[in-house]
Amino acid sequence: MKKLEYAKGVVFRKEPAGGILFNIDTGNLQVTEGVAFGICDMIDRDKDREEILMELKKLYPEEKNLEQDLEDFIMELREKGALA
Amino acid sequence: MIPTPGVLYINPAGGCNLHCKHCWVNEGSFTGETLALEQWKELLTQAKVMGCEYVKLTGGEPLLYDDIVPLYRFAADSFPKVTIETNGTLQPDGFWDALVERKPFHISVSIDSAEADVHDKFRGQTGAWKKTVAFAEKLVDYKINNQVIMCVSDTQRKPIKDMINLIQSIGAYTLKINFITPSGRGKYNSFFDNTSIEETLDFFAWIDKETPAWVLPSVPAALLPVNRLKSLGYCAVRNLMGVLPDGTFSLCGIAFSRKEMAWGKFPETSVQEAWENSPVYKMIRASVPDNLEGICRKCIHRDTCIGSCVVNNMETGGTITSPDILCQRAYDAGLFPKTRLIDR
Repeated sequence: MKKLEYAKGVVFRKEPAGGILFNIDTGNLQVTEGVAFGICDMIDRDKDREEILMELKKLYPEEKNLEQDLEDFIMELREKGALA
Repeated sequence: MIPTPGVLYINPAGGCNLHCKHCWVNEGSFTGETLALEQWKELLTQAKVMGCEYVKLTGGEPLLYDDIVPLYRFAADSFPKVTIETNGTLQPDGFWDALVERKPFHISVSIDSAEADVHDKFRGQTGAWKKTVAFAEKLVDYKINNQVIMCVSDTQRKPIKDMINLIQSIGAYTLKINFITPSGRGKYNSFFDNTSIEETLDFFAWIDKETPAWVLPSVPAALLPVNRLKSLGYCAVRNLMGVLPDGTFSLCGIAFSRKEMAWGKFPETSVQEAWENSPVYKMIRASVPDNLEGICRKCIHRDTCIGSCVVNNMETGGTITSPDILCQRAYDAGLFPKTRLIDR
């Protein structure tokens, strides 16, 4: 499985209330909270897509659309240039 | 490339009916002239042609302007977003009808305390509080998007708690907390002079933990936790034109008290001419955010926060590229959040 990686120049900053994705080249800044924050944190810890999905299923067993939600969020990050 | 003047702050009335302790308007001086309604319409039309989409009627007290109702109607017909900042003590004839017919994007009123006497003393007029609360209640009754702005010069918690209760009883939508800056008369009692950085950060943390999400402190982005960033508004200073009552072009309204921040006067100078040639606007474009100094240079929020308020930075640090004073003090004290630092 291909590893998910932040794009060059993108850093993830983790705080108690959420996280910040910052692109030093463009100045773009994105605030992440909740599940999105959890996903960004796992990407930052070098988890691949399958590992992230497994972790999400453990954390949110009642959620039915986790796989699609994860896919959508990864797509969103790619569109914003946050993922390599 | 010259950006679009997307935001226009106009100050139509030549002064104010109150005498607030923090205001920059009466502290300074201007010619005493005011543009006629048709001149304001022409100015607004020129701004619209240039791409302006947001007009704020502010002051001084904008509702003092004799033709404020037709001016508001014209602005609301011409621009997607029109806002009004008022002290809420005046209700000109036809004003509410105009607001109901053409809903503004937003109206903010100033209430500084839940105690009438405290507010009236701060605003320099007995009875002001009662009028403004009645105004705010009317905004709620008419379902007009509204905000109450409270100005503070210290870190007392009780006045904030009491204001939250008042806002809830009025039914207003949000409470913005402004920290009095050393501009105009504010220099005699500014928040920055009255509080240490340790007290300030403790106060911000208290606001975050103990007040509802609709309480919006005017805190620089870097000093806010992540959960509060989404509701933080940023100054549009690079796309912003201000116009004083006599048509003088200004950076927001600061030229009331700092004449060097004015250049050109409508109608002798057109909106386009002022926007393209004013050394004030040119200086902003050339300097902000890339030349921001001190902690701003190292901050991940530099390009969106752009120093929080360049006018305040000029007053506290001497130049428009000076860093935000609170962020700089936090950094100097080793209290600036490390997660917001970046090497540039």
